[in-house]
Amino acid sequence: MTTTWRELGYLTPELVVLLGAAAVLLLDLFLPRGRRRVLGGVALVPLGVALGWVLRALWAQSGGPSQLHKVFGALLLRDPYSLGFDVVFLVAAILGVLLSLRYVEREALPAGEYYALTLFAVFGMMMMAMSAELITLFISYEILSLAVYVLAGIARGRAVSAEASLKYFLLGAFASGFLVYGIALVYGATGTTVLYDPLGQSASTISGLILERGLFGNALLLAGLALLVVGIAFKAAIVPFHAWVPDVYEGAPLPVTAFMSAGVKAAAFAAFARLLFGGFRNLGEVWQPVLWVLAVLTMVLGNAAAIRQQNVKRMLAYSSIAHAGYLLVALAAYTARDVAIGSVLYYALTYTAMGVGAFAILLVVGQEGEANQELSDYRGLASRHPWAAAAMGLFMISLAGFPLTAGFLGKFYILNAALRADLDGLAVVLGLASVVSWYYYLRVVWFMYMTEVPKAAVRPISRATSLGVAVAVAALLVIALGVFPSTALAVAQMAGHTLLPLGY
Amino acid sequence: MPTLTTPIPANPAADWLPVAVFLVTAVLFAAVLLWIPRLIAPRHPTPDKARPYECGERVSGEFWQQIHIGYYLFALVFIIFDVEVVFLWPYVRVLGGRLIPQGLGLFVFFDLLLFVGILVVALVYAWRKGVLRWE
Amino acid sequence: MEIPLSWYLILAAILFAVGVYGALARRNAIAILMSIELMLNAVNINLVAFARYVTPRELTGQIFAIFIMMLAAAEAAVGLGLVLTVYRNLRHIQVDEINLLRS
Repeated sequence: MTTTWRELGYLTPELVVLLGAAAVLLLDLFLPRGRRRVLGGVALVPLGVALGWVLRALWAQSGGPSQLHKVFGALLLRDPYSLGFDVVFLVAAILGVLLSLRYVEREALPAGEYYALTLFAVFGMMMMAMSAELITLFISYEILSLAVYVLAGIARGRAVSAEASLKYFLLGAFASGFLVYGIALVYGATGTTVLYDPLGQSASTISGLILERGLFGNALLLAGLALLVVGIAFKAAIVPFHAWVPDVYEGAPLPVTAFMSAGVKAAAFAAFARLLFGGFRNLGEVWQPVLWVLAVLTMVLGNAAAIRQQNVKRMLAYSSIAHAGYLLVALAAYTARDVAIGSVLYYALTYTAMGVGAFAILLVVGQEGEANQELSDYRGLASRHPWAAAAMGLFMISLAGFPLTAGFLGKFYILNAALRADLDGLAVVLGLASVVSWYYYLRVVWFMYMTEVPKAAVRPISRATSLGVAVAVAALLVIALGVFPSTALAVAQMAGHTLLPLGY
Repeated sequence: MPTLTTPIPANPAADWLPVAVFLVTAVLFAAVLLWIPRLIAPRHPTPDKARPYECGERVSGEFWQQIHIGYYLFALVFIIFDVEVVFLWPYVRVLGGRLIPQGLGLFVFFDLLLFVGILVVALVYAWRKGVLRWE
Repeated sequence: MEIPLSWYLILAAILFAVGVYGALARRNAIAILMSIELMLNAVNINLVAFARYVTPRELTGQIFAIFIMMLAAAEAAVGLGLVLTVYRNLRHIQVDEINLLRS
């Protein structure tokens, strides 16, 4: 009896977020129209509680042996890995809600649905990072996806938002068809959907059966793995499955774009790493070259497209593809997995801080109906609004990967993993891609600091407190992760080690 | 004689023979039923007779009519709940079959309550949004 | 004679391919949605066949098929809602003519 109750206890943060979503949805129905602005604040409560729980759980394990619990058989794993990614999702969601508070009111979006769907999406992400079984993985993937499809189109009156959302939905549903076909084939080849057993108690898992039955060249299994990679690569915005990214990121409401670019990508990579390093750890020689090619394509094409953009929102969208490429380099560093997985988690956290921060500045500068997002709108920002310009400058040099920022260390640890795995070529491509990215990131800084604008053309910026708080939190995170990385790194490494093979 | 114990080699065609016979019979039956009236029934078509049958009323409007959008919401609510009910089966099968004998009845109860509770939230939402009212 | 597993797999693969073709070739958003549902149902055939032949004593495959049916319904609900919003904005749902966003 007690074991099962304890299992539910391991899911506390997930359940808190889920109940929070239901509470927001119900409150919205019974609140008078004018009071609905409190819903954003209500949505912050479960996110904060969950973040507190997760941090406390991680704190309790730092130094000591890491704890690993199976929940519901082996469907879900409550390990430092899932806790670490929960931090990323919850930080992204809290920043996303802070960005939305003013925006939802200004654009007259349906507040109840907006925040409830955000919470449902976070719930899906958290489940995705926990799931160690393919059906659970698929369900979490869909919970996340359906919520985000609707969020992308929640500005119903704006045709671009509706268009972005329909495109995202059609391509996403198409990709989930591939994912689920892949799951069916893997199930057919092995007879199980459990990825691996971290405690080594059962060999009837995918990773165990691959070894036991020698399924290394099994056609069904390999086809299934390929389809699984396609399905997840779509969510992670990896070239050549990235066609939706620029349109959706541009058409979706800005706070949703910020939340998506950080949270959805992190969730996809959380599942990706668990899938490859967990369930298919014994097929590393097969999937590593594939990831190598995908990583090069993603870095090169993402950067090449970002250079040409004049619209900052679109530039950030393409550059987020490039960042997915950097994360892929870490996944390809299969033989150095003791450091590779930790570097994925660390980079996901840094990207969340700097990426969402940059989108927050877009909101500060942008005006009603998503105007003012051209590069030229940043002319002379430094002289008019020095703090906004300084924060944007910080996010840009961090995204570009300059030392003493979070982005530099994130890339440094990925490079470290790549070199230790003897992926010299990939490391060189990563370095060159970063240098190329300096051009378009620093161009924003140049526009802000080196150009002037006639007084008549000066436009006001948004001064909402919630936006200021979000920018400050993101900026502090970028500096803290860049200057004092040791704690976060130690946690990321501990989290990464939970995926190393102990048993089957 | 060992012939009785030797297995007769299976003839794949023989297994499918009943199916084939059934198919042919069905097609023939339908064809004959269509052919007999043509042979014996009198045919005097008039414009009135050629009209589609609408319970004796005069035909009005187009056949390809737009369906009221309200049906869409009803269908949506219906299909979600319809499919969710399917889940009660695996629930009963797994939780009831394995956990209740272990003395976990209360846990099963609250687990199901959570599941149904989420559905109730959805229903309350649909109700307050006026989906259940036909204007 | 029992029907071998491969027949089911071939049927499912053909259905899946038809769905993929439809999703890529059709222009009407609803038709694309229907093609995607076809892909999901092809997977269901696979799952039930695997459940019968590979793990006859477990329910994994069947339960997964139920989950996919539920998700297909949820997807259809969300998809039709999105199609409606696009229709209200643009008065049509031909996906190749929806190009407000530069790409």
